[in-house]
Amino acid sequence: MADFFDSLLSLEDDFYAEGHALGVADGVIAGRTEGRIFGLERGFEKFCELGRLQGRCSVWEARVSPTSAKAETSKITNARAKKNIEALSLLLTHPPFKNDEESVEEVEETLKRGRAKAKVLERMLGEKEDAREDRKDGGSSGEQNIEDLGKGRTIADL
Amino acid sequence: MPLQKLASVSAHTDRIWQCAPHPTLPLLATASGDKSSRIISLLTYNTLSTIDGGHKRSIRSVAWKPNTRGESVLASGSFDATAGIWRRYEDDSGAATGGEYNDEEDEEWRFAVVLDGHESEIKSVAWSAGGSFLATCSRDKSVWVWEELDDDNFETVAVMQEHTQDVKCVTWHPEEILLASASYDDTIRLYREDLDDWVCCTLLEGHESTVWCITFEPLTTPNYDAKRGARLASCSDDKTVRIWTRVGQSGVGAGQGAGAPPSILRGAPVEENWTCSAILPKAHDRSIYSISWSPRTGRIASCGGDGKIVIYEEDKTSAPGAMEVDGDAKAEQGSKAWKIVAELKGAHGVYEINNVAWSKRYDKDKRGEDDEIIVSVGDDGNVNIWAVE
Repeated sequence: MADFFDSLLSLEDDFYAEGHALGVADGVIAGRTEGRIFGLERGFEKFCELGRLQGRCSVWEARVSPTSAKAETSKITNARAKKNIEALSLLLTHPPFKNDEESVEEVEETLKRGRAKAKVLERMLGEKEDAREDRKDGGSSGEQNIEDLGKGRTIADL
Repeated sequence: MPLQKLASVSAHTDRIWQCAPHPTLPLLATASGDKSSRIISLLTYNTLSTIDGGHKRSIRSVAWKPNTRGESVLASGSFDATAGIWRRYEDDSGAATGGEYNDEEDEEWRFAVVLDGHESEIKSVAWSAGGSFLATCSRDKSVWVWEELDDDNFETVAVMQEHTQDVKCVTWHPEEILLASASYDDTIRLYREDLDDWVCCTLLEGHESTVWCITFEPLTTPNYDAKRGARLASCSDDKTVRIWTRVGQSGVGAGQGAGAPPSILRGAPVEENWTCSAILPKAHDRSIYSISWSPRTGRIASCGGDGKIVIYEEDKTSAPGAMEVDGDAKAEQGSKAWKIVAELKGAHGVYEINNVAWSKRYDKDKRGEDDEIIVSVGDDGNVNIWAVE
């Protein structure tokens, strides 16, 4: 008889443990889902931007040595611009597509330098970029700065 | 060795962030929170003109272009994320009139160019030794290098996004095309031009908090050693002033030392190895905002949030050789060579002092051609002039 009622002594602990286990199970599923969504979103953003940079770089490269007479009108002759385009092209070749620490860091570095080079080239070639609309969340690294508050942005934007 | 106050000019209605003595004329420019810059005579300590209307927010930094002929060019960096270039024609007898003009001939400052591009507040502007490049840095963590192509036409030559936080100060080497930047991320970075590509060649770590100001050793200091090269002095929120010396250069990818940026870039450039060769004796109780290295006496002046101005002097016997001594021992040796020769409390009353600069002395009481003064500016909106006894 003592055995039968023993379970009552740990009733609270049992219910707690049961709840905890259910929570962990749910959490694992929700966490994995959220993580995957987050990863897909960020991965898409980063590589989309990388692709855009590569695309712009290809167009610039093509303008350096145009193949048709019509294209001659947009030829890039500025020597410094040419060097920068070469450097940008070198930088963007073969970005790593793996998902480990090193590769992620490398992609970040590449993006950072690529953006900076693109900025210099834009200004050199007189193109004002209208990609500002892609960067609604503000800042070149997507980071929100408390000090930017009030410049057309509210706490809800942070 | 006490400091004697020669003059106090209440130049602005808001705090003064920085002051810049002209490279050749007896003029001083100020950068103020009241969105203007004032030109003050170093002959009479009177205010000569006001440069206004070019910026929508505080002017945080001003710098005179070196090596100009027939004109004076001033760069201004503002919290409104733009930099301005101001010009004024000087006839060659400018030195005689001390940059002053009588009423009829008063030459106005012309707002020549607006340099935009930064995404947030510009913290510092600096011209390279020859005047061919202008560097700007900002809270947006980037350092930009500009080159003047022809009159009033500036091109962005490089955008470097290496720091991980707000960049507080930029300064150029007195001889080489070498740029240094200091940041809220506690580090100092050096940049070089490598085949038209600007890259970060060195990372200096050691400070324990924001590095507020950096300056290279002028080539004319008594202890300057050409083999060692110009040293770099830095001051920080961690209340120390440090001296850094270049100890060597390493080839491509060989930078395993503390100065190596990640070489994931193909064809990484030659990297430089610098080490902290001295920490100056402790004198400040709060952040040190600014330092200045005298090209005449080699003394360093520092100022900070504690309202003090401190002057340090290095022993002439400081031997630049013996690079084989290991890092820490060498730094201790280097530190022992520096002594505090003057300390002035409350130089601007209870207000913080934002900038201090050595300048040649031009006023009528100067004691010879090599005499110098210290100019300090602070949150009280005053420009104070000090002579070292």
